[in-house]
This record gives sequence, structure tokens and C-alpha cells, in this order.
Amino acid sequence: MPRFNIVPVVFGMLSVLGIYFSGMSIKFVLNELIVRFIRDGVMVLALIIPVTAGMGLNFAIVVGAMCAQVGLILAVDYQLYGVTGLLIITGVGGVFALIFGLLIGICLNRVKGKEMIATIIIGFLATSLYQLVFMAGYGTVITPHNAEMMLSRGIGIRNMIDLEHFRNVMDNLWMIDPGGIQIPVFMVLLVLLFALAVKYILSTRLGQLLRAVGESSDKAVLLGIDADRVRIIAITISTLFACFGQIIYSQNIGMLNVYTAHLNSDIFSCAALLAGGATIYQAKVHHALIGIVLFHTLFIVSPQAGQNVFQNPALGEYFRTFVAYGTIAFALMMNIQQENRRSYPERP
Amino acid sequence: MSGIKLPQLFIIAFLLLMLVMAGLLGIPLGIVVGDSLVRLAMNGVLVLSLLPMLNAGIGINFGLPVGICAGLLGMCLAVNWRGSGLIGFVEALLFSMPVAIVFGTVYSRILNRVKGREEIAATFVGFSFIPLMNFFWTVAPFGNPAMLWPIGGKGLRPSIGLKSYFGKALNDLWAVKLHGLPMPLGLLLFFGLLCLVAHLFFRTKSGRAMIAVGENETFALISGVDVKRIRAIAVILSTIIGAWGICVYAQSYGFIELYDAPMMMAFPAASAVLVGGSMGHRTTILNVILGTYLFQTVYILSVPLANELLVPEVAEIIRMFISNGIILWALLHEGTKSSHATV
Amino acid sequence: MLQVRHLSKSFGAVQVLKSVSLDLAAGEIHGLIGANGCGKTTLLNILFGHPLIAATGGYSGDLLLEGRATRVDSPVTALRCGIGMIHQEFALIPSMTVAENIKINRERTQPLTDRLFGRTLSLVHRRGNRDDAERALATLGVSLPADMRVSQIALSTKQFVEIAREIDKRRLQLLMLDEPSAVLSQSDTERLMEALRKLSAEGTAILYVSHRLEEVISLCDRITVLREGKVVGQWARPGFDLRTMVEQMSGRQVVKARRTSKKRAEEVLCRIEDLHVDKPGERLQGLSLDVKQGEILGLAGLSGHGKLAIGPGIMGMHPIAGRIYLNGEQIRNPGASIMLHKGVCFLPEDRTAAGLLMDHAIMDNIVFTAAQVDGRFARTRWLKALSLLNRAEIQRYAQDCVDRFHIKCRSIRQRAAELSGGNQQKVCIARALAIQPKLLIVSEPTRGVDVVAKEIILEIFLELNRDLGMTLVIASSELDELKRICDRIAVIYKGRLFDILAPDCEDRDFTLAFSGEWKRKP
Repeated sequence: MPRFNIVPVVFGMLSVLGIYFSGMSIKFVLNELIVRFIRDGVMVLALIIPVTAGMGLNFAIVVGAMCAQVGLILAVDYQLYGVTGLLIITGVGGVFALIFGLLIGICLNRVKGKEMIATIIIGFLATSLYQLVFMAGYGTVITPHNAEMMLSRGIGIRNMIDLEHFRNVMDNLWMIDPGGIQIPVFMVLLVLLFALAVKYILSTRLGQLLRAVGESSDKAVLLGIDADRVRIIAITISTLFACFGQIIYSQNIGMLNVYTAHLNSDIFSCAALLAGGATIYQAKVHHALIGIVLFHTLFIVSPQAGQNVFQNPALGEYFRTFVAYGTIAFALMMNIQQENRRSYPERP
Repeated sequence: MSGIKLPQLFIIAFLLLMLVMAGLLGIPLGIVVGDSLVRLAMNGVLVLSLLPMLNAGIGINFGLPVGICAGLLGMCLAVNWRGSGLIGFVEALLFSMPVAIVFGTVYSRILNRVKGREEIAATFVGFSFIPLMNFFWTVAPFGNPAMLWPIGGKGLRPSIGLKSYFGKALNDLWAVKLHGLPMPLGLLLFFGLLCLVAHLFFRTKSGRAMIAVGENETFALISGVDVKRIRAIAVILSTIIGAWGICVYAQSYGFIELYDAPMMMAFPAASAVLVGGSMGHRTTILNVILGTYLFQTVYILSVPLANELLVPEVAEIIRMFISNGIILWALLHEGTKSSHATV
Repeated sequence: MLQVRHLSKSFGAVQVLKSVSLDLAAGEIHGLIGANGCGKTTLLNILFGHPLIAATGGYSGDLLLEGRATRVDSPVTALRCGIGMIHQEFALIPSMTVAENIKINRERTQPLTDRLFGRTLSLVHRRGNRDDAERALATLGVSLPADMRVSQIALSTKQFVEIAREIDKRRLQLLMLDEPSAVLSQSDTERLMEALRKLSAEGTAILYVSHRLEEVISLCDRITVLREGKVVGQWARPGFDLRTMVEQMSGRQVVKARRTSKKRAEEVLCRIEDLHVDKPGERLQGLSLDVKQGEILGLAGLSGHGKLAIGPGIMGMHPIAGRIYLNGEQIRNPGASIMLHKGVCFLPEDRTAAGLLMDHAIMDNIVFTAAQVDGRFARTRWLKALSLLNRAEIQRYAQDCVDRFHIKCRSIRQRAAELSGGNQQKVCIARALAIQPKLLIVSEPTRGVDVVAKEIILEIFLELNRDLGMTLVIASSELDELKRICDRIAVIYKGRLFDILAPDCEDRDFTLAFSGEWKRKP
């Protein structure tokens, strides 16, 4: 029996209050929301399958994001632009995502019960590796082909790379404009396509396997299911989706913050998923979609609300950071406590 | 006593490599040694704070920011009332304690609800505590203008200089020169004293109960130990020592760093204790001291070496890499060990 | 169809199966009976490829399926060979529906997506699944909406769903059942037997493990009796002889020294009323029992029926309900701390998991409970919680215990993990003694202990009872030990007290009592 989850309600109320206090127009909020839905949608969707497989929140989606960025940097390096460029980025990023997804999956199979903390550390580790490669590797071991993206000292890539050549490939396709609200229909459909893909996977045989393993890895083995393999598949799909999500994000923003773009993408995506009513044991597509709306509304209005109420926009920013981390902390507390009560009723 | 395992071997090998490179590049080793002692004591207390929770079986205290914020508050109060010199430092310690006890109690209640997955919950409790404190730093009515933003005068500045207060107070206490090497005896004695107290604590009845809870909770339970209470005490102790740890660190560094600074401080501390050979639930003082020393020496050597190699940022990146790599290795190693143990 | 040849399996130093051989023909219903710990479940686990078997060193011996030598090393292999298993703890996914559970890993899929994406990524055909599931259930005489969640159906229905899952498999050659009727009523059991007979008529071989001897006799074509890992009897219909089978199960052993009879006190030390203990796998459902002052009371019964739950329940390890009285005074909220203070001590059956601090020295283990509960061995009388311990006193006391109980060790500083099972148990006993308990509850005292140490431990119990007047409650699956040292033996059946037998009753009486089938002679 699905328990009533108070989290989306709380978020809803906070959002309403936030909109009120910020004084922002609904039209403005909606426009921003649509943009963020497109940018962050697929990232949040990427979290669903590992949760279903019982692996908790996959904070290592940053690795998938970094794979996308590797693809982007390579494309800029070799100056491959336009649609071809985008396809190559998707391909290269995708291949990296598959490889790293596999590696992460193998790692996680050795830390059963501590997957979440492991994915956080893996994320940090991957970030360090990534920074090493692009800050010290380019110009020393790897020869760049595009001098524009390098730092003046010759070693290391610039902090920011312009992606103007990719920006208008698909962004403004099929743009409609009802009453001043800009909806790039193609992009919205693209995100919804990914949502459909997740839903599809969950209704296949693989989906049944994921759910069985998610409920009890041990029972799944007794039922003749290769639980370890299913878990690896789950993480690999997640990393792949994260890669695609980051590609959409980057080309939508139009520029790439090489060293920081992927940071916090895991936190915000997890918070958004939880805001939509998911738990660390169960997540559905509608949780992701609702969650993005709720979480990002709060995100959009907080700084201005902080300014209006406290004359200090920083307070609004602190509030939304607290909401992001706090949601995850709260979800962990509630879910783990519930799980403990269920499987260890004898614990005093 | 745990034997030499892979992380220690790796770190020692890495250290030797760096020493060789440093020697080749002409970096004076005398300063390195002196520096490493200071950094040992400076960071050691923070690493020491992980000891109670590790021994009680609660895992690595990734929520160290909670304790650190308590210490920061204590120091701010001391600076606010213009405590200077050694007295100021002691004031900071005294003010931090009640704050740490309050924070620690709440923190322990939270951790009690998440048995079995404390580490991930602690991480996010720590992370979410920081913006709360950021809120506080911005609105709290501190009086000392040296602490506030120069323009506007409202809200604490992110970095508060301690030169006119208790900066280096402990460092300078009984500082002598041994064969030309500066030896901050006061600082080292303070650290040593804390280590001794910690060591003695684990030989008392309560300390033994704590170790038993960490080693085998069921055994402790049927031996009449109040498991819930012991775990709470462990968390509160960790928080208090963490608060004192940041006080020692800040006075040595010379600045109180507020806002987002404490966010990632748990991870290097965790790697240090893991490098020192901490084996899951039984961690000793020796692990703390050895680990911190090895770790800090790597830090010290990394900066000039990285500078020589023309990419100064690499130092920080490599440190993070090693730091997190060690934690991941420990997780993987523990994972395979326990999966063999269940059958 | 299946030939088992010289199958042997050890868990560490303990050999659980010793060269077991048996044959199974297609369509044969073969019963497997034996006392607790005789190896039945291990045999089933090997045939099913349970991961536990591979993880503890595999097995030796041969399995021949249809004449071909096969190695079953995982449930996946077992399934491929057409071997199915009904587990005692069901392998059902509670949050999924009945249909999903029955068709797990073999779901029907839409043919279009089959062709496009391959079997694994093919869309599940829900109606097809439901039909298959309902058909399988119908074979068992169960009608049930297949889209109900498993978490919502009754325990006995779950049993049938578990079975339906196996019979839905197309190439099921061998079906193994481990205590299938444990949760079923009389009529459900009959339905089950009908279904099994039908299945065997269609050519599936069935391996049926159960304690319910009458059932086994009425259902099976052939019966194998195991005792202590060896085959001690093989029977074929119509030559079944229940009495001889029971004798084979329990064995006739040379009885060693018995306790000397003594005047029995009638005073009740501990009264237990309607005790319910929720220990997973060993639930008590309303036990009422009196423990008399100065006696040695044995608790016997099949595993899972609750005899091992009394100690943990009283010590607060699991949620309990009911009333406990000590010396006439009711103990509200019983828990370890209160019980220890009142002089009740418990030695758990799993020494390494709950009885000792394995990484600690012997001397630290011995004094731990006393130091925590009574404050013994403290250096200071004030500030007990922070007092250091008097190491000299501890060493003296520990050395004393080592000498008294002949604990074989290098020194009192040796880690508990390095001792043998018997010596570890002696350390546990020494630990309990340090608080001078009036009542000592022990679960499985000689499990994993070698023969010599067994006798010493039993002697120690007799000594404690005789010299210190200590009351002992011993829950054990080693019936002969209980018979040798206990004054009375309480048989626990299905979570309740079945009856109290005198230790000089026949073994076969006990065996029947364990299955709830013994009748007291008037």
C-alpha cells in the first residue's frame, strides 16, 4: 500500500509561499520552469532505475555528466559542430558512460548496503580524475587541436567554453508562444521521450527483474536471477541517461563550465526526485516529473523571496541549498527508519 | 594491531617518492619536518574526533561539519568578547562545549533512527547543517566590527583574522627551537593530552562498553549495556572533540573560516584515520596519529612539487584524489570482507 | 532420473553429509526424513545450487541427471536442469502480484517487442501472465485473483503460490519441497497431496522433506531416512514401518553417565505465562511454563518451533508479550539489564555472533558482564561509569576460571576467536558465573563443540546445579544430552508447550512429541 508522502505537499506549500513572497509573475516562473524542465529532466529520470533496483540514490550520475562533458570538449577540440557534432558527442559520451557505468556497477556490487555513500565518494573521485586530465593533462600529455579553448599558459583547458555552435541546433525547434510563455516543443517532447523510455524499461522483463532484485537481492538469487548482473545493468543505464541529460543541459545553456558544470547535479536531481514523492526504495516516472516542477519552482523564487522578506538575497540562496540537502537528509531518515522497522522488528 | 595493508603501503610509497622528488628539487627537508609536526597537532584533533563513533560501530562521522560549526560558534563568541591570547583560546574551547553538546544530542537522535546506514545519513545531515549555519552567520547580532562585513556592517565576514585574538596562541606556547627546528611544545602537548585522555577513556567501564557495542551489539545488549545511550554518548563526544578540533586548527591557521568552508572537512579526516590503519570498528590512538602524520606530510610536500611542475592547482586535486581513493578502497575492502563473513 | 552418489559436504570442521547416495525415478514421490541437523536441508540446498553451498567450499560426490553427470552450482543451473524448489521461507516478492511472482523471470511477452528488442527488453504481456498464473493455481485447486499482491494474501495461500510458480515451469523434472505442510491446515494439506500426486503422474519426480511422518508415509512411494548425515534406512511402499523408521531417525546410542537423582524442590523460581516472542524463525505463541527452584529444565523440540526463543525473549532481544514472574514478583518490561540485576543470565546459541567479543582477550570477555552490571573489578568506588578497571584483579580472576574449567589457551590474553568451540563455550560460562546468577538460561550449549569438551561442559552444568544450587534452563536439539542431565524436559511444539516428559522416556516418545503426535499414557 503506497503510504501517503508528505514531502510533495510540503514542497507545494513552500513553492506557493515562495512565489507569493518573491512577487514574481506566474508567466516568468513558468518560462523559467520550462527551461529547467528541459535542462534537468533527463538527469532526474536517470535516478529512477537504480532506486528500483534497490541501490538507493545514485550520486554517481555526475560521472555520466562528466562523460558528456568529455564528449563536448573533444568536439570543440576537433571543431566538430552542428548536428554532426552533437551526434558525435552523444556517441563518444555514450561509450564512456557505458564503460564507466560498468565499472561503477562492479564496484557497487562489492559494497552492498553502502551503495549511496560509495556513489558519493566515486563521484568525488571521478571529479578529481576529470580535473586532472583537463587541467594538467591537456597541454602536457594530450595535445590540443584547438588553441582557443586552452589557458594562456598552455597547460589546461579554460574554465568556460562557449558552445554557441551547438546552441541553436535543436533548442528552438517548434517553438510555440501561447500568451507569452515560450515552449520549445521539440525539447519538451525529447525529455518526455526519455521519460517514456524509463517507463518502457520498467514494464519489460528487465523491469520485473529490477523490481525483484530491488526488493530482495537474496530472494532474487534463489529465483534464479543473476542479481549482480541486473544491478550492473541498472547503473549502466543510469549513467547513460545522465550523460544524455548533461548533453541536453549543456547545449541548452550554451556554454560549458568545464570544471563545475556537473557539480551538484547529483544533489539537485536527487532532491527533485524526492520532492516529487519518491523514496529511496521506490521511484516512478511521475515522481520525477512532478518533482522537477516542485523543486525548481522553489529554486527559482527563493533568492528574490529572500530579498523581499529579509532584504538579503543570500538568505534565499541559503534556504534553497538547505532545502536541497535537507530533503535528501529527511528522506534518508524517514526511509531508513521505516526499513529498519520492517526488517528488524526486534531491534529495541 | 592491524598489519600494514594496501593503503598504508601506497601512502608510504607515495610519500617516499615525494621525498625523493623534493630532495632532487632542493626543497629543504628540515622545514618539512617542523611543519609536519605543527600540522599533525593542528589536524590531529579533528581526526581524533572520529574515534568515539568509529569504536561505537556508528562508522565514519561524515557529519563532522556539525561539530565544526559548534566550534566555529564558540570561537566567534570568544572573538566577539575580544578574548585574546591563551585566555581567548580557552574561552573558545569553553564556549564551544555546550553548543557541541546541544548539537551533538540532536545529531545523535537523528543517527539513532538510521541504524545500519549512518554514514550516508550523517553526510547529508552535515551538508544540510551548513546552510542553516550560513543563515545564522548572516543574521546573528555579533558586536565586534572586526568580524562583520566592512560595508553595510551586517552579517559575519567569511574569514575572520585571529591575529589580535588568539591566533597562534597555542602554537606559540612554549615554542622552542630544537637543533634549529621550531617545536611548538604547547601545541603538541595539548594534542598529546587529548590523545591520552581518549586512550584512558576507552579503558574505563563506559569506554569498554562503547567498544563492545561497536564490536558486537547483540553481545553488549545481553550483557546489560544500554546500547542507545552509549551510541548517543559516542556521537556527542565526537561532536565535542570536533568542535575543539576546529578551534585548534583555526588558531594555528590564523583565521576562522565560516560559511561553506566546513563542508568537505570530514573527508580528509576520514582518509587520515583510514590510512592510519583503522579497521572498521576498532580504531586506536596510534591509527589517528600515524594516519594524520602521513597524510599531512603528503599535503606539505605536494604544494612545492606541484608548483615546480607548473600546475599549482594539481596539488589540491591530487590530495582530493588520494583522500577519496582511500575512503573508496576502505569501503570496497570492508564490503568484500563482510560478504565473506556472512557465509 | 536422478542419481545421487556419495554426496558429502562439510561446513568448516563439521561434516554435515557423509557419502549420501540415493536414486529417484521419474514420477516417483520420494520422502526424506530425519531428526534436526541430520542434513536434509543441506542435501536439498546442494541439489538446488544454493549460493551458500558454493560459498562454503562446495560439495563432493556426483549428481547424475538422466545418466549425465551434472554439477549444480547455482539456482540458475538448477532451473536450467529442470529442478525446482519450494523453500521453507518462501521466495516470494511481497510487493509484486501473484501473477508476477508465479511468472518471475519467465514472463510472457509481446511478440512485437520480442522481435524488436529481444526477450529481456520486451514488454510484459500482463493478461498472458495472469492466465498462466490462474491456470497453475487451478491445478492446485486454488482460485485466486492473480493480480492481488502477495503481501495481502494468507500464509497458506502463499504456500500454494510458491508451488504454483514451480509447476508453471515447463520442463520441471524434479520438484523439492522443504516442510511444505508446516503452515497448512488439514484440508489444505490434502489438496497439496492431491496436486503432488497429479504432478508425479505426469512424470515429475518429487523429493518431499517433512517431519510429519504420517503424511510422508501416506504420500510417498519410497522413503530415505537420514541420521547425522548418513543414510540409515531406505524404504519402499508397501513395506513402511513407522516404528522402525523412528528408531532409525533417533538412533540407539550408548548412554553415558546420568545425573544422580535428587530430591526435587517444588518451589517455583520463574513462572512464564502466555509468552509470545517474535524471534524471526523461532516464534513463541503463548508459552506457559514454570521453572522450579534448583532444577535443570530441558527445552526440546524441532527447530523453528520456539525453544530457542525463550532466552532471547526474556533478555529483551526481541519484542515480547506475556508475563514473567521471578520469585513471585512480576517483571515489567523485561530486558537484559533488569534480568541481569535480578540474577538471570543468558548464554546465546550463536557464540560468535552474540556470546563473545571475538577480538577481545579471554580475560576481558570473562569479566565484561560482571564489570558492566555489578561494577566488579572497578578501581574506584565513586564515578563508576568512568572508572578504570583493576587489571591485576581481572587477571587473577580470569586465570582462576581458566584453571577451574580447563580452558585450553596460550594465555588469558589470547583472543577469543582463536579458541576452539568448546573452550569458547567455557569462557561464556565463566563470564556468566562472574555475576553469580540464580538462573542460567542456555541455548544449544554444545553446538560446534567437540566430544570431549561436550562432556566437560555438561559436567560443569551438573556441578553448578549441585554445588551452587543454580537453576538451569537448557534449550537444545541434542536430546540425549538433555536426557542425561535434566530433571524434566519440556517439549515445545508450534510455539507452545506441548508437554513435559520425564528424561527416562523412550526416544521414540520424544520424536512423536516433537511432531505433536505423542499421547501421554494414562
